[in-house]
Amino acid sequence: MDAIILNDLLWGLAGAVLGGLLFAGIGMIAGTSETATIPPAILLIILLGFPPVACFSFTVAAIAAKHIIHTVPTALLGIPGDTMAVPMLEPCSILRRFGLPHIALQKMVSAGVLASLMTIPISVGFGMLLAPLGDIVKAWSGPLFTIMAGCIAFTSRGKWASIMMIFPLAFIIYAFNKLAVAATGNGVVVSIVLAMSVGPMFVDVLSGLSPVSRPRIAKASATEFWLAPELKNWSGFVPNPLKILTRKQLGYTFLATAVSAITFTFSPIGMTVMIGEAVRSRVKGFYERLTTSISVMNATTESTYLAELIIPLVAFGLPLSPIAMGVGFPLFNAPPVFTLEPLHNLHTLMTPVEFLLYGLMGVIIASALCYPVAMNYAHRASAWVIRNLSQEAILTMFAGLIVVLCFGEAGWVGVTIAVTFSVLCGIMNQFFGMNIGVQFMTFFAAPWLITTVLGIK
Amino acid sequence: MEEKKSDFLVVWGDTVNFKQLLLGMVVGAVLSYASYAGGLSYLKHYHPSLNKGLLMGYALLFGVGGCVIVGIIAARIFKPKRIFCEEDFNLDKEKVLGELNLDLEKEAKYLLTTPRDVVAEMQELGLYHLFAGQKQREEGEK
Repeated sequence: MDAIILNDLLWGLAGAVLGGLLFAGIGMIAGTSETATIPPAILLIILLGFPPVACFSFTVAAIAAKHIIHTVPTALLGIPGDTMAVPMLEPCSILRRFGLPHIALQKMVSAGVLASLMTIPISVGFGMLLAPLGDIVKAWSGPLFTIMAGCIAFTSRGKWASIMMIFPLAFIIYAFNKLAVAATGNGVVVSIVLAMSVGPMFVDVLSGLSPVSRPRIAKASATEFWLAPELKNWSGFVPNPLKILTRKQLGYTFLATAVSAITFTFSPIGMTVMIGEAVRSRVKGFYERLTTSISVMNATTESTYLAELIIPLVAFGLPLSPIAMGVGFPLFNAPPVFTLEPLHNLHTLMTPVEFLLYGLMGVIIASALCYPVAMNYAHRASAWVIRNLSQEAILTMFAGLIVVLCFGEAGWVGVTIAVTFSVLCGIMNQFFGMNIGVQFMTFFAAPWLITTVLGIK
Repeated sequence: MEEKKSDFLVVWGDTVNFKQLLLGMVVGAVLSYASYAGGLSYLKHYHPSLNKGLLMGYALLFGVGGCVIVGIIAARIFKPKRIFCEEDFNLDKEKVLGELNLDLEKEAKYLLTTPRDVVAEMQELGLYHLFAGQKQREEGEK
């Protein structure tokens, strides 16, 4: 028994270190969306046969690390590190104009670290509270997914266009799945999910190939990157994260963490904007308002992401939140390892105590790796990335990853489905504002929606 | 060698040389597939006792290894299409303040109710006097 626990602990630790390191590195690259980069990585370690606890600690560490390090490009380069960092860009750029990029960075990183630490126990607790509702939720999951797809669609940029496209998209997903079953005997999940994630990139590439759409993405010169200078205002290796935030900022950070646990079905970016606005309207002075709003917003990026992942895992085992649906998706459904029908995923394989333990492990490891890096090497790392890591190289790697993962799932049929579907999803995303969250939700609603409405089996 | 103007495209938020990108993606896809397929047949041939799940897992590892190697080679060959600039911070904070169109009178009033820890922080950063002492000047500008 002890040997099993020790084995799990070591695996959990290894998962956390791997997730933290990998996504601290990826976080430095501005604009690498977490919805596109984290799921393939999770899928990979699941398929490689990492035990459940390691998959979980990996995911938690990856999310925590990404949202600590995404502040680096946001504060130092004035480019959002990923989609979640977009709301923080404006206040950060004002602070930068005052010559205070390091203050922006420190406030955001500290708040992120504290929020991710607090979120784990809150989410596990809240998930346990909701667990008794699990059976009802499971019985009604089909209609529930459909309703949620509708709600998320309406809050997406596409509004009615997104809602209108739910049914056609569900139909196509269903059809692709039938096709894959006919060809290989199994349905496709990885190919569809990857297609949704990389759709916008693929549409850009396709635009470049057509003279008709090429002007849309043409640019006369290379992008300019302005890196803020290195400034240090503490002594020793790292500053104390508790001392960086003022008392009010600590209070708000805690409040935001609690709120994002309760609102775990909302869009995380929406929550970040909303909480940012709420703080901005309550804090009066210019400097205090800016610093408080960026700290609390970054706290929210961590807490919404982690809560939206952990609560559905602990309570239902069904991906009932935008993050569970997107970034955390493989933890719920990654056949043949984890499946929804029958329910066999982290929900059934881990106890709440394990969720708490390995969640905290993930967060602590990620913070221990990223906090000193963000404080001491942010400047040098950003400069290195800009100078040496070309977008071409990143996309080259991505192209390879997609082929390998989709081929592994369903052979060339999988690759074909991924390519075809990514064009469709990318167009829906870029031109009509039907974001990945809606698309993921539609994926879930598809079997129930299509069989119920069209009466096919 | 000078790059043609029309070769710059914005793909996924960053400028790329389109020909290089296409070349990279095609080669990346082919080589990664090759390392996956090669890995799989190697394992099947030399380690036939592996069970199916593990076999797929290891083959995947081969594939991903291929991706990473191709990525590193691509990073060596394709240089970033970015212009790198470093800011220096001899900036005029008062000028920035002017550009932001703040109501400095109100800001000075807010400072009276600002918590002490925030005030200390602002003083340390040389911001406090900027907001506290500019009442008159701002009135003159209006």
